[in-house]
Amino acid sequence: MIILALPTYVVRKGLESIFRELCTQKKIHSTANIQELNQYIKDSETRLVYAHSSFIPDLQTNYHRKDSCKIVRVIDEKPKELLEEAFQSDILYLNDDEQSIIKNIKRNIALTEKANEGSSEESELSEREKDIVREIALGKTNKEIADNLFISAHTVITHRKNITKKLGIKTVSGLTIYAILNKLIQMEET
Amino acid sequence: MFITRNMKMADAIHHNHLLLPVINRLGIQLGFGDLSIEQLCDEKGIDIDFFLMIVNAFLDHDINKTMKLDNVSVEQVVVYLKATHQYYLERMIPEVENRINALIQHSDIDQKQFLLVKNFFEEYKHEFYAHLKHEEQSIYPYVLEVNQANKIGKLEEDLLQKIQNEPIDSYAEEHTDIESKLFDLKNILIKYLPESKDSYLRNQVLNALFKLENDLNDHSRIENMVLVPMISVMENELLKSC
Ligand SMILES: [Fe+2]
Ligand SMILES: [Fe+2]
Repeated sequence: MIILALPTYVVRKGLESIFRELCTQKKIHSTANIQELNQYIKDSETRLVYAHSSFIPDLQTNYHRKDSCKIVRVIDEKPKELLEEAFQSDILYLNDDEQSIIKNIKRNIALTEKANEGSSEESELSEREKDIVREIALGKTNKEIADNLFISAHTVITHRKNITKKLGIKTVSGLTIYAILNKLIQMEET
Repeated sequence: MFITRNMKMADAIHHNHLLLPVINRLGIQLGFGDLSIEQLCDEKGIDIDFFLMIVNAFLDHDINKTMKLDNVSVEQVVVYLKATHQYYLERMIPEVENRINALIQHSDIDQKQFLLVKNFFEEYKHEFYAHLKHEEQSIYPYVLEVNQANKIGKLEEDLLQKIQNEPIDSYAEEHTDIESKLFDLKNILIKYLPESKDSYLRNQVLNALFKLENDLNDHSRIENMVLVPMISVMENELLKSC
């Protein structure tokens, strides 16, 4: 989830539409309200926040969150002496040129997407993961799989999570069909 | 966009046609001419506030924004949820099934592979029926009972026991996710069945699945985010009063 918190209506809506153009993620919320913003920051689904500098003093970021949530400061004007400064992804200057703004947003979106899906590029199963799919398709429990493959039950669970991420298949029956279609097991074995 | 009382019903449908089954379940059938939502609800004796809440919850997924739980009637929610179940059983599930059958009959791919899909859906159907049955036979009656007791402010002994042993939160925790399998089925059709010469019939199955999934998501959200919190509050009040 991406949150855009800015007091000015036109700016908020403008930034929101740029985000919608640049990213496929559906969950983009915009707000002009600091309480609402703090509520969103607590939510573990929130991965990226663009907060206007006027909100920063009241921002509550000091509670415990396991996963990261990046906060980008939005500043109205880029100070003149900084004009030549190197690119910074955690500050967005509203009066910056189109290219720099797009670059900033793209960079940060890419960061959140990585954090979201792990390696979303990779979808090929590893040999070990194929072994696990085979076992799942044969109806084995996590414990049995762990014993058969000489790994810990915890490792089995981690593998299963990665498999689901890679294939987009969550259920045992779904994985069974995948295993058959990809000849990891024979139809007669099920 | 929010749907408002002065809007023409036809415009709401043009805005998002997935609302069609939703308004049907709320008691409005096609052929309403140029009437506004308010006029139409008046004519049919439908509670307009409830109508707007359900429709907007369907469009804007953030229920907390679109619903004010204080003045929602539990009876109305249950009637709507039941009508939705009915619609799944009579329309949407058979629609998916028919399309899977058509796919199998006309496919140029190995029959066996498509039979996997058919069996998968068959299995899903059984889980789906069981889910609905459990809700209609246990959960909804319990919900209505709590609501009634809360209204008259009187808590019978056996209801007290039910609240203590199986509060609505225990249903919420176990409320099985019936969308996962649909999600898998979609990916199998999109990604993993072998390529066919023509995808039309496969598209047809997918369209029906996407539609069912979308509707089901809305239904589960109403169960989890409207029904459960409302009943949970009532349970606490009843427990306090005795
Ligand atoms: Fe239900
Ligand atoms: Fe349900």
